[in-house]
Amino acid sequence: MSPRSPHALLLALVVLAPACGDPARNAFSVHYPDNEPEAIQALFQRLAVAPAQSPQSSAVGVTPAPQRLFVYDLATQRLRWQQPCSPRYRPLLAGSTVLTQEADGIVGRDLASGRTVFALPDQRRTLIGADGEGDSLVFTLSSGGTSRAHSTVVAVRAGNVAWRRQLDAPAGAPALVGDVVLVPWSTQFISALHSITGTEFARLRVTDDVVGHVFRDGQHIYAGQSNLFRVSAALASGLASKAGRYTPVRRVTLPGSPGLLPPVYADLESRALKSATHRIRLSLRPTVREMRVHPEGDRLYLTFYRVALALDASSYAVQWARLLPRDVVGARAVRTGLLIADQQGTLTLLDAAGGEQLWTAQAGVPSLVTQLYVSQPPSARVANHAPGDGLDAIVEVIGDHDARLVPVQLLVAKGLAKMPGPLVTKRLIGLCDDRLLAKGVRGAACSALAARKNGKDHVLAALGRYANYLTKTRPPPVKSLALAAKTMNLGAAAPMLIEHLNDPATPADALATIVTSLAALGGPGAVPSLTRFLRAYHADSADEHLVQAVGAAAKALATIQGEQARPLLEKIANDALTTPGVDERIRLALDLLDAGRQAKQQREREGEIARGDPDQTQSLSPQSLSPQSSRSSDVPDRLTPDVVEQTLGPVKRQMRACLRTVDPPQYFARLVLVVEDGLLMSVSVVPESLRSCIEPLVRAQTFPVTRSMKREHVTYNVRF
Amino acid sequence: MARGMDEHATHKVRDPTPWGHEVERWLRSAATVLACTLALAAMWQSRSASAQPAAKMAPVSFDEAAAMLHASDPETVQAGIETLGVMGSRAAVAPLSARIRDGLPASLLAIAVDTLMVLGRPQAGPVLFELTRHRRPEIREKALVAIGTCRPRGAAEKVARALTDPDGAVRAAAAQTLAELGARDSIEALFLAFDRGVVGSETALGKLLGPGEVRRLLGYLGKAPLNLVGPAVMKLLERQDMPQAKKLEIISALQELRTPQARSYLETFAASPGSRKGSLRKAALRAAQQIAP
Repeated sequence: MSPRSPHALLLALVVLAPACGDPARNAFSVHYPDNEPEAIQALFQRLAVAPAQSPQSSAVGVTPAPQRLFVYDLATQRLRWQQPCSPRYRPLLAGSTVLTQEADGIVGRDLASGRTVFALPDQRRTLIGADGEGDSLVFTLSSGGTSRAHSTVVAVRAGNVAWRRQLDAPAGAPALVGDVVLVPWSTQFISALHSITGTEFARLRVTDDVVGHVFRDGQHIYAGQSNLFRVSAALASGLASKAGRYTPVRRVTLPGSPGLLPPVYADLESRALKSATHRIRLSLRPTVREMRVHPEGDRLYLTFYRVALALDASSYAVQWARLLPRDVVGARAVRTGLLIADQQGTLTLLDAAGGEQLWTAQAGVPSLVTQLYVSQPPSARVANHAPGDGLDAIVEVIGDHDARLVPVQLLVAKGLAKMPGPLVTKRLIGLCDDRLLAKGVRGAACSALAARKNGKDHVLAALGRYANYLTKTRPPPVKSLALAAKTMNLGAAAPMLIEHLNDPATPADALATIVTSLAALGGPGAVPSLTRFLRAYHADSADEHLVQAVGAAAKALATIQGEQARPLLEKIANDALTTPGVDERIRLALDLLDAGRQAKQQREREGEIARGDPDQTQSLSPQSLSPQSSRSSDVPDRLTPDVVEQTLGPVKRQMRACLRTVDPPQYFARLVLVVEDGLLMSVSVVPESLRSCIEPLVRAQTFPVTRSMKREHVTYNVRF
Repeated sequence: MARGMDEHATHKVRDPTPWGHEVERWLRSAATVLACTLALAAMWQSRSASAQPAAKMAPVSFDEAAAMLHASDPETVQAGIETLGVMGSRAAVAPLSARIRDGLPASLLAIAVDTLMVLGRPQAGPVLFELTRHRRPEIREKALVAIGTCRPRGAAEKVARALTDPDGAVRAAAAQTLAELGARDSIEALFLAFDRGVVGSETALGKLLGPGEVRRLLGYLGKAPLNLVGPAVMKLLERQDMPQAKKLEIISALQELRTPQARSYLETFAASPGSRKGSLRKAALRAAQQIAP
């Protein structure tokens, strides 16, 4: 056989082909082995010797129509260039190349001059991510985020496409680290490719997390999507949890639900230029501490339209908040704080600790979206925090009337509610009093005010304001102030509460709360006013609010006066002119007295000393009928089963005893309670035969005020 | 001097007769009392007739009427209220006041307040003062009107407070009652009410202002709409106790406005019995003629 014969050539190919490369080791092959120890070791050896980054400090953005692409140099504070452009999505900076996806495909422009460096036709796929160093860059294109997506990884060098690799899977945002291209794909893989040849030489597979991004920041390489972890040798275990993973707080949903990193396996249209996702973002600067990833300063930044705020990374507690004149269209966490770009082209650096403005510059062009790339933060002055600045800024955020800000205002209001100090109480009074605020925001402020423990002088000052048409004075937010006075045990507020109770300008829905608070604070001194109120309106309760208020007055008198209130209550209960609904509440108040009397008789019969048995003393003695002030150290967010259990605990034994008082005896009773602002609106008992025994016991207890502004329905079971 | 327009746009102002202040007050009170008495009597008669069409009703004693106030049915309570009203005795105030304080449905409460007004006794003051703070604006309004009839001690201060009421009709009733009470101590409050557009405040000012305070009202001419200041000015012109020199000053101030509306006011005054002094009529006519129609 001659060496040149076709048979010999064919034989040579068959023999040599395996030596030319295992098909299973082609880039992104499904057969490529992952987490191979030797390959991983080789990968990290190459990564360790990668030269340091030399990123540009630039702002890259797109103006509103007529659209132009622009680059602003943050170091020299001047606009480098701007030119007409119609990108579909936000631009990306990779090395010294600005990438845009336009109608016909991907266009790369030189960062310094704007000159077109390359153009890659592609009308079918979306630019997902890019990274680069100098004139070398890599980017990924994908047709979607599902398993049926088709993606391409493209490497460009000096304006020429060096190589392309196709994969039948969704691809994420890649990183170029030295001569290694790291490409996340199919949510769990990170393939390492030679930047020159495009050959895959290692693959990591993460089994306990989603990988959508790989990026380098300083000396560390990070990966993740909803969480963030290190790309390190520990990742060879396949577990992000072993790679120092940082997981954001899950129990708190941030307004707009922004992720740590832009979504790459989701609806790609959310990347469109006018998408709200560009105005709602979470920013952090990752660092590594004790082998674990932490946001620098343990702080995250949230930008939400015109609001920028800092959150504690472990609890999402608001550290500071700033209201800005215009929407934020770009943000980047830097060492000294948060660098933001707004829609008018203003760039501002906010101090990390307090949000104070440290530096500002004008790009000179408006922007729909601005991408910020920072190697060194702009040199700026040192922050000088004046006392009260932070509080003023927070109140300014909450008090703004921009309807788009409501979700973030609620978050900030929650943070304000946790701040101590009388000044905070004063500010909450102002917010609760602002009728132009969005209903939910105002409600949050009023709820927070109701739970305040300090700021007595401010509460008294607010309560001392009364409606006056001639002086154009509106009534204060009496309901919340009454609750606050009760929380603070502010006896000095009693005369003012009486005045508000008698003021026809006081809203009807505040009356019941005023009565309850007055009873708690005024004690016997409140009896004349409560009596007058009860007598005046028991037959003329125009609406449900007045019915509740009259009922509350009856209960308050029964609580304060005990048996001395019986004659009046019986008279009103037997008055045929009493408004329907009121009579039921009067009878419940009488049931309270009956229960108290029975309990007292029982104790006397059994020879118990009321004071020696705290459980008995708390349950049915006249003292136990006193409204328990909401003095618990923590105001609950809502009526949880634990809260209800704690409230009904003192009468639990008596309720169980009720099960045996009916014929036939019961082993189970179900209660449905309706509570609003600490007031028990209704009690239903199943079976009905137990109602007369159980309901008075339940109504004898005082439910705590919660942070919820809604009427709450709770179910409670009594078992024998 | 800010001037609110809303109240005047929505509330009808009562138009008093062009008689002297005291005569006017007496006649109005008497008319109200007579009307209410006749209405009460008619209702009582009708109820008695329908209840026992064939039998003759025995007269009800005072004690029986007072006892009816505490009946279990609203009709009997109402009958008791009306009977006490028709009796007209001062002694009826106490049981009516007590019954009001014990609490009544809105309809019965209104009748009870009307009855106190018919009785017209200052002893009703305390309970009426309390009712000026009732949650129902119609009750507050009735209470204020009744105070104007009963004229209890300390009424001016209580009524003046009602100028700050959130309800426009209540504020108007307060202004009118202050005028009826001759509450000159409330003039400052009435000027503030006038600035805030309280209906009836202008008429009250017209009735209460002394000669030394006229110039202050004239200061509003040309600054506030004449249809708001005009009734007060006319009231001053019609008052018998206002010196002629002051009336001439008012006429001169109207002339200086030189508006068709001012001319109309001058002509109306000239034609009214209030200008029966020839010099005043001539002055008003002359001033009117100086203004182009």
